[in-house]
Amino acid sequence: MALPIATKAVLALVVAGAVSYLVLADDGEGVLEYVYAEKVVASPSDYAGRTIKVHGTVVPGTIRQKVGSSGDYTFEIESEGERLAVHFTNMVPDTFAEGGEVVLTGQLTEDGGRFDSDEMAAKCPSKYEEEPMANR
Amino acid sequence: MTIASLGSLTILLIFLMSIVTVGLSVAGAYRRSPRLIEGGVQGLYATFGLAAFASSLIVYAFLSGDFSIQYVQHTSDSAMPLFYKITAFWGGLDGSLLFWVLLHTLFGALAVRANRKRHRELIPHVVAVLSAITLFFAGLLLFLKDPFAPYLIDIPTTGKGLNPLLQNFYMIFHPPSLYLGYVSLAVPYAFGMAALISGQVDANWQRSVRRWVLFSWIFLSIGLILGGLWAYEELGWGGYWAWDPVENAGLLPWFTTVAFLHSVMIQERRGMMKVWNVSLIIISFLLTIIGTFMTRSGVVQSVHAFGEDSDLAWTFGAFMLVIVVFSFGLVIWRRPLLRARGELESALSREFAFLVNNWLFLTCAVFVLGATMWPTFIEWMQILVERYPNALGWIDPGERMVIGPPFFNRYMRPLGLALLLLTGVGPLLAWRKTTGANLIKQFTGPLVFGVACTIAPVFLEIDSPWGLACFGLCGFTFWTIVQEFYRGIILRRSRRPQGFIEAMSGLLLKARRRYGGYVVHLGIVLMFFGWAGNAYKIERKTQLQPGQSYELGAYTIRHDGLRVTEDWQKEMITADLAVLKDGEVVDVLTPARWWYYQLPDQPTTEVSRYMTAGEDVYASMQEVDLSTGWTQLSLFINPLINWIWIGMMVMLGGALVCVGTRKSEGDDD
Repeated sequence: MALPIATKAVLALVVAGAVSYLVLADDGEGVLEYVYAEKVVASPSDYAGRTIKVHGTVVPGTIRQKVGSSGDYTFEIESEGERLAVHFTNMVPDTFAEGGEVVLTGQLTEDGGRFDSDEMAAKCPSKYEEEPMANR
Repeated sequence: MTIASLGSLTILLIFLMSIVTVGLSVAGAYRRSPRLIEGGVQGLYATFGLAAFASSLIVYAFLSGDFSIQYVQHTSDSAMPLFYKITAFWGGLDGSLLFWVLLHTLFGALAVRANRKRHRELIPHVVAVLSAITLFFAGLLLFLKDPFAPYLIDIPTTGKGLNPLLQNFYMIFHPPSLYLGYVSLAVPYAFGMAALISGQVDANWQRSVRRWVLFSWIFLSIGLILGGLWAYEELGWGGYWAWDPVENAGLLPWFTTVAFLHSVMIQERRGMMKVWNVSLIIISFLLTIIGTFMTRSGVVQSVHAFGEDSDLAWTFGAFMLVIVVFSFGLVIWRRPLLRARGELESALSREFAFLVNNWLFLTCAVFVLGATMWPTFIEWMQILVERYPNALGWIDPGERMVIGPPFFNRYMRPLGLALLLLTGVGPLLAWRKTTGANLIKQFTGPLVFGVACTIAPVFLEIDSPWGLACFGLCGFTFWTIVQEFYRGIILRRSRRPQGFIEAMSGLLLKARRRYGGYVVHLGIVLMFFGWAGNAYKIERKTQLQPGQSYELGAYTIRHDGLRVTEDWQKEMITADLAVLKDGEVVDVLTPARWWYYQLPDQPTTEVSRYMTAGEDVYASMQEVDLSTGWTQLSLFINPLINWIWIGMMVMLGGALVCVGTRKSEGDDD
C-alpha cells in the first residue's frame, strides 16, 4: 500500500485507541460464568456473591409458588445427584416444568444455601426435536 | 417397494452419481476431453434430477402420512394443515440436509447451464467442486442422517406433529430463505476455485458470480428479517435480535458478502485486491458451512440447536478443514497470478473507503464468530484437558461462560456506527484521490444536516450518547444519498428536459448498480434510525386484574377482561387490554396464551401490538389465573421499531434494482 507514513500512523493510532478504549472500559457486562449445580454445591465459597449462570434439572415435586403472586417461586435443581435450592423472583418461561433443564442467572447467598435468581432459560428437549433414542 | 426403501436407494444414487460426476469432470479437465467434460455436466444435471426425486418422495410421504418413516413421524401428524405438511420437509435436521442437497444441485445446474458457453474452460472445475460438495452432504444423508430411515418394529400409527412455535408464517419462510442464501454461495465458491485451478483469474469469473453473491445476500437478508419478525411476534420478549448463535450464523456470511460486493468494485476499477476478493468468497462459503454446522449439530447451546451429535460434529469439522486447506492452498499456489495492477494512492479515495469498509465487515464477522464460539471452545478445552491430563494438564481453560447480548452490543454498536459513517462518506469520495475543493462541495450539506440531526433530539429530552450519535450519522448519510440523487436528476434534466420522476427512474434503470446501491444504503439508514429508538425503549412487567390500569410512558393500559375460546387445535385465553392516550382509547390489544392439545404443557405466548410510525405498544401475557383474573403482563414501548422493517424493505428493493445489472454494465461506478 502506497499511503504516506503519516497517514498510516494516524490510522494505526485511531484503531489502537478505539480498540483499547473499548476493551479497557469493558466492565464484563454480558459475560457470565456458567456452571453446573454440582460445582456450586461442592464449593459454594467460590461462587457466592457474584452473578453467575447455573445449569440443572428441576427436581420434580419441589416447585412451590407463593400464594397470591405469579412471579415468586422456590424449587430445587439438581445435577450429578447434587441439589441446590432456588428462589426465583420473576415470571417463568413457557417451558419451565418439573424435570426440565433450566439455566438460571443470579447470585448464591453468602452462606451458600440458596441461589437467588430472576432470570431463567428453560430448555425442553421435546420443544424442537425429540431425543432420537427416546423412540427406538 | 416402500417409499422408505425407494428414498434410501435414491440417496445412495445421489452419492454415487456425485462420485461419478467428480471423476468425469476431473478426468475431462485433465485430458482436455470435451466428451468427458460434457459427461460431468450431464452428471450434475442427473444429480439434481435424483435430488428432486428424493425430495418429492419425502413430500409425498408427508402428504400421505407415512409414519413408518421416522422423520415423517417426528415432524408431522395427520391433522396438520396441508401447507405445514409440505414445509415439514425442512422442519428437522435430516430433511433439512436433503433440502440442502436439492437446492445445491439446483443452483449448480442453473449456474453451469448459464455459463457453460461463456466460461467453457472453467466449467469442468466448477462441476467438480460443486459435486464434491454434493458428495459431502449426500454422504451425511447416507451414513448419518437418512431422512428415509424407517421404523423396523412397532410402526407408529400417528405422528408427533410439528412444534406449534414453528407453525407460524414467518417460520415457514425463515429457514428456507436463509438456506437459499447459504446454499447459493457454493456457486461463487466453485467459480472462484475453478478460476484458481485453471489459472484464469482475471475479473471475468467475478462478473459471472457477482449476481449470485447478490442473490445470496438478498436471501440471507430476507431470512434474517423473517427471523427477527418471528422472534418479535412469536416469542414475546419484546425484542427481535438477541445474538442467538443460530441468528449469528446467518449474519456471518451476510457480513462477508457485503464486503465482497463492495471490494469487487475495486478489483473491476483498479485491478487491486484479487487475493482479498477470492479469500472473501472462500470465507463466505466456509461461514455457510460453519453456520450449517452451528445450527444443525447442536454444538453451541442454543434454543434452536437440534440436539447433540458428535459424529456430525467430527464430520463437519473434517469437511471444513479440507475446504480451508484446499482453498487457501490454491490461493497461495496462484499468488503470482493474483498480483495487483493498481496501487492505493490516497486515504481520501473511494478505494480506501471500500478497504476500510471491508476491514470493518470482516472485523464484525470475526468478532461475532469468536464471541459465539468462545464458550464452546472453552468447553472443548475443558473436555480435552480432562481427557488428556498428562499432555494438556498445564492448560487452564478457565470456567465455562455465557456471552450475552450486552457484550455483543458493546462492540458491535461502535462498529455499526463506523460503518454507517462510511456508508455516507464512501460514495462521496472520488476514485484514486479526492481534491480539497471537491471535499467541501460534497460534504458541506451532509455535515450541516448531520449536526442538526444530532442536536434536534436533545430538545425532545433524548440524552443517550449512542442514540444521538446514531441520529446524527443517519442524518449525515441520509443527506449524502439525497444529494447524489438530486445531482443525478439535475444532470439528466440538463441533458434533456424531462420530468422529475422520469429523471429519477432513468437513474435507477440506467445506472442500476450505483443508484440501486444508494437505495440499499437508504434502507440501512432507516434501519439505524429504528435501532436508535432502542435507546429509549420502555420495558415493564406488571400484574393486572380486570378493571385495573397501568401507566406505560404516554399511554395507559386498561385490563378489560379475559376470554376463553377454543378451536380444533388449541385452547386460548385472551386478555383485552385497552390502550389509552390522553384519555381516548386508541386500540385494544389482545395478548393471549394458547394451549395446543398436542403439547398441553407448553403454552405459546401470542403477542399483540399497537403499531404507529413513532413506536409500538407491545404486550405479551406471561401468565394468567382464570379464577382470580390475575394477568401477568410484559409491556413494552419500542420507539421507532417499525422503521427497522421499513428500512429492510427499502434495502431489499434497492438490491432488486442492483440485480438487474447487465453483465456489460460493470463500469457504472
